[in-house]
Amino acid sequence: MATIAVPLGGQAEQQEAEAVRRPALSDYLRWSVDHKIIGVQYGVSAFLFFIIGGAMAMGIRLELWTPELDLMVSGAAYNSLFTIHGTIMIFLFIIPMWAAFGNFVVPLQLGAKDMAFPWLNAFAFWLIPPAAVVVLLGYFVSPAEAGWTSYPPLSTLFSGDGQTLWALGAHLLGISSIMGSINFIVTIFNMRPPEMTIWRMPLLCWAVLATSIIAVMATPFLAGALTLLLLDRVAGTTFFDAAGGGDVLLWQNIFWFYSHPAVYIMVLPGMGVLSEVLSVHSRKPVFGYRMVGLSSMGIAFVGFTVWAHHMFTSLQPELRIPFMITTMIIAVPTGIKMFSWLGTIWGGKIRFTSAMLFALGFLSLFVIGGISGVMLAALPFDIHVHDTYFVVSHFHFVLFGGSVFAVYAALYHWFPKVTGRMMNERLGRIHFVFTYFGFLFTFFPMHVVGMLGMPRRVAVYVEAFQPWNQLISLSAFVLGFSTFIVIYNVIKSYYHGPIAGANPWRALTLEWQTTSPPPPMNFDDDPIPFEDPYGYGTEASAAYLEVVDEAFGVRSNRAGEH
Amino acid sequence: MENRGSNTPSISPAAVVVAAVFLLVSVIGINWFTTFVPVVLPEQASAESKSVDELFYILMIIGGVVFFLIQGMLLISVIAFRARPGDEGDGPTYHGNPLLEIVWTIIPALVVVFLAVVSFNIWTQNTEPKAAINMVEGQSISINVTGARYAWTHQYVTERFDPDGNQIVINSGPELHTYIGQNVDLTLQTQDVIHSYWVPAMRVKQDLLPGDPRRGGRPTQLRFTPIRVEDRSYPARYPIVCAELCGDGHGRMQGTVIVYEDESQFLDQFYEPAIYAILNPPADPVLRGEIEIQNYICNSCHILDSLGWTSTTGPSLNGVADRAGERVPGQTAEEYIATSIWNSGAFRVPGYDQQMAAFGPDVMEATNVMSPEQLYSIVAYLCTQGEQSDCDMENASAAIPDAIQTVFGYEVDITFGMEDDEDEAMLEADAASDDESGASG
Amino acid sequence: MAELTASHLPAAAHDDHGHMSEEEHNNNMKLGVWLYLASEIVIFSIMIVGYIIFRINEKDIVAQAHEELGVGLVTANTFVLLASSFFMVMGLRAMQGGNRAGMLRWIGLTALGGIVFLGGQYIEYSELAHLGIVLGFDTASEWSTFGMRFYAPTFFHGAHVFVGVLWALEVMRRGAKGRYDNNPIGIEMFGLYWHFVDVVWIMLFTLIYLV
Repeated sequence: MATIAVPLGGQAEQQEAEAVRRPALSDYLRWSVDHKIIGVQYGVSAFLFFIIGGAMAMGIRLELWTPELDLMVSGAAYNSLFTIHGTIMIFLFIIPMWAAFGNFVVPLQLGAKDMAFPWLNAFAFWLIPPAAVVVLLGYFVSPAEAGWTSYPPLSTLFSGDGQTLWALGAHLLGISSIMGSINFIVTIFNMRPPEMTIWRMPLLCWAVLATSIIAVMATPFLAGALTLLLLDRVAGTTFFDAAGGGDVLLWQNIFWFYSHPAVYIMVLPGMGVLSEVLSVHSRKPVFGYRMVGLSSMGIAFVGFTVWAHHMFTSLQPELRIPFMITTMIIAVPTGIKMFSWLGTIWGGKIRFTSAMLFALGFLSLFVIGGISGVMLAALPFDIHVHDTYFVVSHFHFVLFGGSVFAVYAALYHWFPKVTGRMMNERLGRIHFVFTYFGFLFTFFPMHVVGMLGMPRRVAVYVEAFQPWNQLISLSAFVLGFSTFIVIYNVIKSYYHGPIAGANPWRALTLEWQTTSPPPPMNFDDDPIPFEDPYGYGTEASAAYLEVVDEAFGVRSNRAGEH
Repeated sequence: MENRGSNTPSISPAAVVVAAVFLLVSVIGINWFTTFVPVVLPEQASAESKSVDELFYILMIIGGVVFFLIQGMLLISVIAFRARPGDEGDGPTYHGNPLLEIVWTIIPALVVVFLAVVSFNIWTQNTEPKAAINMVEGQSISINVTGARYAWTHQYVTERFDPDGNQIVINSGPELHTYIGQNVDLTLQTQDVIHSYWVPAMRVKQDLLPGDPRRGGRPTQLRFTPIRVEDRSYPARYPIVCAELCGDGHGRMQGTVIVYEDESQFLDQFYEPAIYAILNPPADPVLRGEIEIQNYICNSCHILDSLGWTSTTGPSLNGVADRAGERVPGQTAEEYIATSIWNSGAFRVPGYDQQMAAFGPDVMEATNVMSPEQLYSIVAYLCTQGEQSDCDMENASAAIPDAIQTVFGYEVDITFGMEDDEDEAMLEADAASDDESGASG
Repeated sequence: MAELTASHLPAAAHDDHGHMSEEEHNNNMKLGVWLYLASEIVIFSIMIVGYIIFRINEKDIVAQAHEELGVGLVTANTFVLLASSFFMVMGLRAMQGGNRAGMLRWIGLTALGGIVFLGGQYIEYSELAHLGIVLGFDTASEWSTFGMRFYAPTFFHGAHVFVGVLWALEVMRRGAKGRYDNNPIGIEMFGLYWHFVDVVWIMLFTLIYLV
């Protein structure tokens, strides 16, 4: 540790930053109840899991280079690989990653000094490492091989002990997620200063609020389902075993009643990030602020009524129609967000910062995921592509093209606030180009192989699909490579990036109206939020930013000028 | 929020022009895209596939308009509204336009309603129960599909009867035989986990769900009607795929739909030969056994290279005759094999946790009924599966009936199937031709 | 090195709620407990709905089980739990009136009620095990599918009572040190939880033993 803990202000040009102290790296390895430390702990650990899960994806693509089983010892080994890939990406990467940005940014945006329950906050984070150990231990002992959806009886009667450890790990992660979400809801409801009215709240806070409500109401369903699964596996009960009077569809119903809303747990915060980034970097208010905020709530609500579209091929045929209709309805609030974002950048003065590029990339890719989502909702067409690569493509467009692009946008946007340093913009642009095109050529062709007849979760496939799969694998390696660029950029910028100053993007939300990184209690004086979190272009907002600049010293380096 | 709407600019004429241009581009783009449709979907081999693909076209047109509209707006924005070098100013303070917001809420809502109605119509049309299903020779028969790790089994419960009055059941293994215009209605059952029966060319898919065996399982239905595909020679073959993760060999779990040109071709090339072979078994017990064993669902669980079986739920049958003599002390190879078929609960091969299904003269399931004569021929066939068989093959016609007598006390009629002595040569020729026509029963 | 960098940093760890007023703190705590109980309701409803579906499909087994179960012991147990909820209210009232000793007495009785309830449940479980009603599925037993539906919700509830007893003892320990003399929020939070456990039991009692 000693070698990393470089004291700050060691370089001559950084003397102006003398006043702002960063926590030492060792502080991040300890128990801390400071939401900013916990945010970074969440973020760094989630990114580590992203790398592990990504390496597994590379393994999957390597296996699929040929139609035969060659890299893996057995089909079961391949099954366990994508099982753990999905589990890591969902439970250990995306969900904790949003807890990272939520933790760091939300109290600052609200003008609060910390989260409502700092101790609980730290506890929720520290549940993740043991849970990850349990899940990964299961992988190395006797891996779960029933997919992240773990349908019984494959996951009960036909799976090794790793499945039990998988369920235990997922259980712990669910508990962590519930605790974190309770904390967010209480913080957002109770910890706002009186000036921060609900309709002055930045949209990230709206999104985190909607997400947390979903998590508190839906995650217990996962906990209940996993409890029954564990009883079936360990105690000899037969809740999901037809031979013992159980019902295999019971699991699918409870599981998807959690897991469909969980999709919104994974993407709504990204939509919140998008509203922030697009507005700040195009210097224009969010178009239809209230509708964007309310549509988050709309998505959260409708999201609870669509779960059975994941069961279109197993549900009784007459029950499928209502779920098709509710699923299609979700397109409406999503469309509202999409058009509002376009309205936000339309006519603005767009700065092509890395954060903005990733936000625009999100817009461009998420629309494809949205269109394929409506196609999947259309029952007769879904029957054909259900459980095929079309579906794999769809959810990667939503969760990678959507969530991961938003994670990168958030990283480039808030890195200066977290570390006090700017990221390298040139590397950021290179990173964007590789990620965007790597992603597009990885996942777009998957639509086609799926429609042509390639089911998901297979290690062997028909030879005719080999050219498609080789194109996909090649692009996937490009996508995998792009991750190294951002890792290099983060490490380099952490030590050598230009000093950011309090408000490098000249943003109006409260997290920028304090030093970078903020002091332990966030604000030296009680912060006064500007009357409109996105009121760019008015004289009042210019005057407000002027006052802040004076309070926190010289305006910092603008992005793109180095 | 006082600023809201204070300096609302009107929608500029330039934006209208640009939007019009992009609508035009999108229409051209979609036209161009639809030329790829034959490349992205399999052949249309069923009546259902026509309407599903129509829905796909509609979705592509609507999706295409949305796609080009949004990507176009995005492209215009990043070109037209980029901040010029040195421009540090802000954009206009424009908070929204309620009319526009209502428009882009209502229009998608209407589109979605339209899509729901279209999908609903196609769905009801495709799933409407059809009157004459599985018609063969003017009668409606049942076709049962069994999914087991990792093989499909198709069984035709015919309306024909053998001389003993038993209903004849054709087992065509991983192949579904049908003909153009036949309204196929499959009853799907699984032996173990959830599988999903998918025929991409037919655009149909249905999960197989484990149910309580005491209540007859949990059968599901799948319906489709094959149609003629241009430039196809018949019989045409289409793949069957398992679409629900079922374990190690999920990717290998495949089958074939064989579509004949019409009912007479179906009868000539599949149905009649299969029934003839069942009614006229070859005299040689080994040859007869090779046919008999394929009438049962053994392939659902076992590997046997000679017959192309791939399932790994149960122990492999490759070389079973080499091992059978040493498994249980005091039991001959013949006795061991006979016991493990009729009294399958007697022992379990180490490493396999699933109990094999019961076969015998008085089991409940009609498809699992097995007479002593059938057992005799199946044991005789299995005795040939090995390099130096433990069985006494010189005296098979005595050793195997003796074994069955010892273990179960049944007398075996070894003259079974030999009544038509004069046809013997012809029968053997039939058996050979059956082998050529694949795994047909 | 760590000391060196930490020395010029403001204290990283600060008091949990040093920056909050008492009222804010109380509001947070109460909202937090309510949200926690909301998520608990979901888990219990899964088990309860599972039981209701079973109840509808398997009328015979349930009727037979009702004969064997008997309601004497469990009714007594229910009254003990209801009484403990009353003690809980009295304990909170005592503390609000500044009567620390009274609070300790009442909360002590609450914990005792919980312990008696668990004892009763233990006796009941042993009797049922004698009858052959066990958790796991057993083809040989006529009870094969009843056991798991019965034990899963009742045991899960019992675990909550157990946690409640531990919580009550902790409340007493802190109360004895005077922690709640000025602000009884800790007792109130425990009260919310205990009443919730009580209400869930009344639902389970009605559904499993009476209906």
